[in-house]
Amino acid sequence: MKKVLISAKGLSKSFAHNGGQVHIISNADLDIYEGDFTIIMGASGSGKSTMLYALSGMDRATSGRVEIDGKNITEMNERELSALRHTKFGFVFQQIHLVSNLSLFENVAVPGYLDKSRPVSEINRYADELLEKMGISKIKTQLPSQCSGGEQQRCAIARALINKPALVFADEPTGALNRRNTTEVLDLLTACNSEGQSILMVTHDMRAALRATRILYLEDGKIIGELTLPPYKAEDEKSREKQVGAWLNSMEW
Amino acid sequence: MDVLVLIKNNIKYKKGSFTSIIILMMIISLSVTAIVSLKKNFPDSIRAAYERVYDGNITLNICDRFLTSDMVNEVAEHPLVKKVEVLKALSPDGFKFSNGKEGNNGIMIMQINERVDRFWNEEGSGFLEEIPDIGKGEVCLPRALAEDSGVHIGDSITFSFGEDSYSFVIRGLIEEPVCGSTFIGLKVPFISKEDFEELYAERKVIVESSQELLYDLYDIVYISQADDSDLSDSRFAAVLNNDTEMGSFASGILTKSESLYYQGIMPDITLNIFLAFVIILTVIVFVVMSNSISSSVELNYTDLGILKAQGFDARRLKLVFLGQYMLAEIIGVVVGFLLAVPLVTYLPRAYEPLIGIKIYGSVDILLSAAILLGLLILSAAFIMLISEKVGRISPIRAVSSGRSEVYFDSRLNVPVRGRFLSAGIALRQFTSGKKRYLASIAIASLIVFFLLTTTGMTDATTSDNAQRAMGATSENVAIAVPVEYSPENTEYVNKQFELTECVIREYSDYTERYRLATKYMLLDGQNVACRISEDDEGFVITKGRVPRYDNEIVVGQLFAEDMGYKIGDKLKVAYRGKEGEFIVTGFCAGLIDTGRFFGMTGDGARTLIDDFSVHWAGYKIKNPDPDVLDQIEERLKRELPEDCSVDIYEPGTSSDVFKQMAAAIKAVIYIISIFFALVVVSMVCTKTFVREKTDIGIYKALGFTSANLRMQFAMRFLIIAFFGIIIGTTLSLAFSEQLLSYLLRSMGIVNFVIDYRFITVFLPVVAVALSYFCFAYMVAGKVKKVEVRNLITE
Repeated sequence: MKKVLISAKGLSKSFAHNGGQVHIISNADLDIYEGDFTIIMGASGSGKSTMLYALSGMDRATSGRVEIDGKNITEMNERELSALRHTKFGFVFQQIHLVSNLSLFENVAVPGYLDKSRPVSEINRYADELLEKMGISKIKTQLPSQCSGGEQQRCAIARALINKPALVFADEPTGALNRRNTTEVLDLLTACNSEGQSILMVTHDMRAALRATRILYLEDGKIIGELTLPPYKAEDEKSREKQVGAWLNSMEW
Repeated sequence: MDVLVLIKNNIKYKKGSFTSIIILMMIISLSVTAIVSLKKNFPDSIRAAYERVYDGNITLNICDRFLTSDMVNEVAEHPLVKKVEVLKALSPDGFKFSNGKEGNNGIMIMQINERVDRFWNEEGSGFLEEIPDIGKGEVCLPRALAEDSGVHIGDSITFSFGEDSYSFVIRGLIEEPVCGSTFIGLKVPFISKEDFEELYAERKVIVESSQELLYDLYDIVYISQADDSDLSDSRFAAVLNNDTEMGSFASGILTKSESLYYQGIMPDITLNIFLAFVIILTVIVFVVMSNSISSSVELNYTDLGILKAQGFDARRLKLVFLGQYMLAEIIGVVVGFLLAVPLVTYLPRAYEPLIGIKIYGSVDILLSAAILLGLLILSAAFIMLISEKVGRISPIRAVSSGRSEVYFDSRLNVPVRGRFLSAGIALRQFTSGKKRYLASIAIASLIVFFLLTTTGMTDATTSDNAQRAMGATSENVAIAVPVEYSPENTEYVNKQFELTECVIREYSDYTERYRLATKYMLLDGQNVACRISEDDEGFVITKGRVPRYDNEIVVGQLFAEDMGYKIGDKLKVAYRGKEGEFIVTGFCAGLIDTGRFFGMTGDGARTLIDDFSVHWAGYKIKNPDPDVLDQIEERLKRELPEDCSVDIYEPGTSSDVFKQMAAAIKAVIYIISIFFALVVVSMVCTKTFVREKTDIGIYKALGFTSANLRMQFAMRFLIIAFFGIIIGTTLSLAFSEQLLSYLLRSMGIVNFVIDYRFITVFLPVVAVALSYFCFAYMVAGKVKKVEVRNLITE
């Protein structure tokens, strides 16, 4: 029995538009489990990213509950949300969003410094370890503008992991990358997941979806399908591709 | 039309910058109009008041015992003289008000006459329509004398002549345009004809029967220059003094130009200080505009590139910048100009109590408009120059990706550590965008420079060191022995000085001694104050050396520069019929008659004045602790004879009027500076905020709270203020004294010395640092509104 990390009940998100309401997510129920590499897929405008940010508390849900450790995120104030972001969650964005005037090392270490319970030396050591793992330790003193998109995104993943989060949210992390960099980033996320890191990722990239242990399909703000997969192995990629492809076809993707 | 649409939209969506430029230009326009108008109104009003009642060019006070009819005839018959008028006056030894305040002005009591026709109303806003009758036992005083002493109509004033005293009730406060201002030592109260004749007759009997030489009876001589003579007042006085002997017997000679100059000196100095301040503010506005335009080009790079791609050329885009900034400037200038109208009317009321003359409240429309128009034209040229970078925008780069931020390593980068995280990140934000903050640093530097200069100026009123360096004495104990000149009295006075010194040594010691006297003498034909000093400390030499022999003099540096005197020159000095030739050995600093003075030794004075000796001595005490001073005072009052007066001055005391005026100038400059800092910081912060919205979102996504981010923002501006403070303080150390010496030259100051004390530096530094920090913190309140969802790409 897997432990539930995040549980959403009756989650809805709507926006005011032309005097009316546009419903992006409608009354969604969803659990995210520990250790899973969960991927949300769906057509453009289906509400994938909105779902991700509503679950992470980055965006306020219009109604419903999102619980983590028995606490409802939707009722948290800004200070509590800030604490949640640097203790429980990590984020990887499509547009990478590194702080442009901090070096790669500092981009990774700075969110770690927010955790006053950990010694700075330990954070620095762990940041070095993560950068090493991401293969960018040699360029750690460089600024983001001096690095390639792939290097930047690897740095962003290291940053997401610095506080040993319960869950990493990744919003189309390969969306702005070329093929080679995409593979590198996906390999890193897969490796992290195989070491026990829970990941919730939004993507419309079939290759990214292959890395999932669980795929949720979203249509008009509702989860209409779910596929569970064994942990990814490179040698199984072909058969996995067929299985996922067939399932996505059945979802009319 | 296309340009108009763009201007309209730019204003609509960038109201902050637009409003800020309006406010800044409004302050400049308001200040320029007020300064230009007041610089005209003050001298015009003072001159008109003078000429309305007097047509004389020289007013001369002479003791009645010296004035003969031959002297008057000699002057009256001089070809340069049109008219001589002699009026009688009484000169008391002192006076005291019913509120206990004793006066330290020279007094010439005169009989009321038709020239006294302007009585201030109770509010001090204008004059009474009906001239009140001055009855028996009543007096009318120049308004400035009453205001300075804190007395009102109905209070009384008592004049003392030796042992006798005469009290009068104040019936009215008058406009007295010859010497009514606080900044002229002599004051003329007017009493009724009946009282004057009675008092004059009584004092005449006493003077004529006294064994001592009493100086109660005076004559005021008004001399007018012939219509066909076009000599300046001072030249006219010099020629007359050389050709006739009356001048050498005068206690004081005041020419019309001197009177106008002294009456208008304080407003003139104040306006000069504000003018310098406004020039600095104008530079700040140009820096702000430059920063604003550069930031706009940077932030709107994509939009401007797209417009270029659509056929807008650089000239048209520059016109958009020109249009929007000039519109803001014109609105600001017009609003400021309109606000100046009430300011020009009401501001002189702050000075009227000091001058006692009604000042015009009209705006000098032509000159103000010409200056403001010039400023706008200069500004337009500046905007065109700064917006030149629009021409370098590449439409291809703009359309493809916009202009991304590229940072480079900086030597100033300090690793961001776990400790002091906000400060570390703030420093990084600063070091990675130094150029962007240059304008803010420059502005902070200018504000700090001017605040330090202003504080230095006002602190000088309480700094003995500063005042001493500028030529003032800094005595803590002063004794005066008012006796006639005679060999016996010289011995008597010296005995009192010796006794005083013995007493001082018992409690502490003195570090400087000033045995001084001041006499008005004719130097090269001009009636000039002469400081006679028995000690070298009596003179603060700026060039050359102190006078040591009885044929040597030093001359006030400014006076020497004006007259073209050089060290080694031989000048004729005359006093009451005696004269001699003296060699100039040096120039000195001093505030006596705004620097228009000279000095000689006691031996020098004895060649002109029989049995002369100095009857006043001041001592600077080694340990001027209030307790020590109290003990010294108590002992001196007990041991010195009754005819000796003892005065004690605690360190840092100066004239209340000057202190209040300096404090008012300081307050206004601080308020405007802080307001400017608010507008500038708001503008720069808003631009920075827009530019860094994504970074703020990222930090929020990483778990930083709005409070953390606000603090980072404020810390960054504290760092900017820090650099501004360092540069501003350096500028101040290098140039403040020169600037103040230049601005205060009309007071006679040639070497303004700022006594940099902790408080002198602390106040401006804290004011600027706090302003930058607090205003940035305030503006950064917008951080709360930044949603992390801005990072979402959908």
